[in-house]
Amino acid sequence: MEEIDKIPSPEKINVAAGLARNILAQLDRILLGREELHKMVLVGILSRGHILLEGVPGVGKTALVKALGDFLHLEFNRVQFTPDLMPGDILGTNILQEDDDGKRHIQFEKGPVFTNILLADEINRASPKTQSALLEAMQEKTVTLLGCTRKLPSPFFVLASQNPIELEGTYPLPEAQLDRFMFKLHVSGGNAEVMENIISTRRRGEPPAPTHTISNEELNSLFDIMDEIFLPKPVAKYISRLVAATHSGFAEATNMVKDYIAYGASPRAAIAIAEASRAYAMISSRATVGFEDVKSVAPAVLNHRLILSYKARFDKIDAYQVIENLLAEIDETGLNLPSDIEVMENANE
Amino acid sequence: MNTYDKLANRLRMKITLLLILRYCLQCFSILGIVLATIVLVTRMFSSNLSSSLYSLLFIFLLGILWAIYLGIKRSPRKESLLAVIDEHNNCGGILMSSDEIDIQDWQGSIPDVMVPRLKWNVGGKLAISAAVVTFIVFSYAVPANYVQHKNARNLDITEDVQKLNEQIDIMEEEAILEKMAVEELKEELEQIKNDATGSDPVKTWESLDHLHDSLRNKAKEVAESMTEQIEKASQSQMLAEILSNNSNELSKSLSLEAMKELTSMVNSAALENQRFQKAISPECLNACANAELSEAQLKELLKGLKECKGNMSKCMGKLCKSGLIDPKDLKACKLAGMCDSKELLEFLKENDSCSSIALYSKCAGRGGVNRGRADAKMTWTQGSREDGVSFKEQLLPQASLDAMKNSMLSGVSIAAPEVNNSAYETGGGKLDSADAGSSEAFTQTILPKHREAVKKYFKRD
Repeated sequence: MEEIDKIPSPEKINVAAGLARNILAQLDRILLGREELHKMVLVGILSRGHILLEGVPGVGKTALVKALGDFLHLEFNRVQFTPDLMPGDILGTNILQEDDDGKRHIQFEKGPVFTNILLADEINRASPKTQSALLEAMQEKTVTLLGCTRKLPSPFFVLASQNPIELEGTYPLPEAQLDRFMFKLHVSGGNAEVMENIISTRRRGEPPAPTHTISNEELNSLFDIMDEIFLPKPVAKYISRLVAATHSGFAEATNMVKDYIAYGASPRAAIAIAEASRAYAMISSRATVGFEDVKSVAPAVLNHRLILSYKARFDKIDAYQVIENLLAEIDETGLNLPSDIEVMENANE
Repeated sequence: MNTYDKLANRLRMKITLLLILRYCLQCFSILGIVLATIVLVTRMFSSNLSSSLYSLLFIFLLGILWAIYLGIKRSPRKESLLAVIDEHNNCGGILMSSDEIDIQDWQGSIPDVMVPRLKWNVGGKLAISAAVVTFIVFSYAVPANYVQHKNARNLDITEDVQKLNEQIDIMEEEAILEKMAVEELKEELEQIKNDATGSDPVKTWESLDHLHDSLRNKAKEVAESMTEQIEKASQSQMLAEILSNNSNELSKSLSLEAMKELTSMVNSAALENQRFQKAISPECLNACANAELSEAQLKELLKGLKECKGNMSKCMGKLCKSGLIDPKDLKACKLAGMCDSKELLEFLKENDSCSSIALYSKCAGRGGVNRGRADAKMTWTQGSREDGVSFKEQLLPQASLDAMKNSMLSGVSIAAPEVNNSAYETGGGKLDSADAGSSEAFTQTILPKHREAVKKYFKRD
């Protein structure tokens, strides 16, 4: 990416933010009571990142992805991951074909991965071999088969879902694969009010059709503006310090990190936070990234990248608590004032 | 410089000032503790509160300079200051970006920016500083007698040491102690004086007593020897006076015998006592050795003996005065020198035929086996009476005596002891009165625990 020397004008940003808000409004209309989740999914899409959705069955994970595909006018494929699913079932395979002349030749039959949005449903039920078939597709956005590399359509997103219960017969995703997901979002069941709303407004739970869709040009314009969102140096420093602090050896690591984190986040996490913060800023109609954007996206980026120690399991500490502690302890401005001098929250003079 | 830079500079100024104040308090606390400690320690060993201690207060000036340096050094960078202002004015990063990128288009959307307030929780540091101030004031103001280090008090034994020194000098003067011994004693005395502390006076007193006892014992030894020599000198003087003044009243043989006795006494005394050798001329001593003293030599001998006695008496007097010997020893010495030559003359006249050994030993009033008879006559004709004597001597029979010797104390009773005389009567063996063939024997029962021992005794291989 080229160095940014000018930030987008407020008008341009407002248009982009309006589009983003439109998408969110449609998603909120289709899936009730998931505003924050929708925002994070959109942030993930705008950041061109892959998203891992974790939640119990029936909370609307698949419906969300399907609605997103329909709304964005993007090609959408769904693969139900099962233990007997083979890599070829996802990537595609070479098959022997006979043409009208009776000649036989090898022809590549594209797998479901050749799409814009791939819903990998219950990804943890497939074998590691099949799971790893997605690695190249997710990172390089290409598929290599028998020495032949094929590009995937752009944009390409993997939205995977996994069920945190019924772990019997599942294969937890390896760290390398988890790291390729920009976000891991928890999809929780709606509250009673939301459920009442669903059952009273929708027959058989079928979501309404979107009233407005986004064209490819509009989506691409969003991606273009994303590239112009400016990340100030203090924020970039804050992101790097935040990610570095997830390693217990780092000077700014908190006591909680030292106690409960076995392995911290990779540099890919810092990149993901920066990208996601840009998207978050854009959705918030801003041309520059602020500390609040970083704080908003950091839990979703970091939670699946921190490997907790056994002590954390004993003390029933989860990654979110550690991240919360990090965000509270690290001075985002880098002012590093002594502990007895503090900057008052309310600016009055 | 744009508006945001000015705001950043204002914030920097505020922060720097606070940091300087903070470091000032820190420096003050640390330097104050150090200073007060130095002052207290100095005052512990010095009675006066010198002006140099007050000049130490200038150390705080250095502290302030150091605090200013630290405050400026830790002053935050513009980038961080803009970040703080941005965050506290909810500018969403636009203010931070102003330093790096043109934000002209966004100026209108930036709200009124204000410099955030700073809060310094100074309570703890002020409390510490107040404590330090109190400590500093205390270190300067506390009365000297409370802080001055008190050495362990010396024990004043000057008088005793002086007295012992005098005694040693007297003993040296009178040639009782040799020079080397005197030096050793004086060194020892000096050591005792140096080591004398009030914390352990017993040790010092014991050492002094030990030294004093040693000197007294030596002096007493010398005094006894001198008493003996004075006595000998007196005896010699008495005999010499008789031979010098009353030789015509004695028979020739007795005179010769007396001369022999005198010269023998003088010779032995001269060997034992150097004062004799000094007081009497070598010619006279030679004449004594040959047992031939002329009239003039006899007079010279008399004079020498008197002088010698006088010296020894004087020496004894000094020893007594210095407390090295008791007055009773001095008195014994004086008594040893008193001898009546007239009585001896009369005795010699009466016992003209006595042998030379008896001559002197019969000098009355000295007591002892060979120092003449006692004044009281001893009679051996009447035994001691037993009238009115409560205790009568009783001879215990042998068996009772053995029983008593072999008895073991099994306890003490308050009741009167029971006496069974028959048990301790001397008696013969069981077979003493046995008839032959009467089958009588010693039939005492042998206790089971003794049977094995008896069997073993009588066992024959």
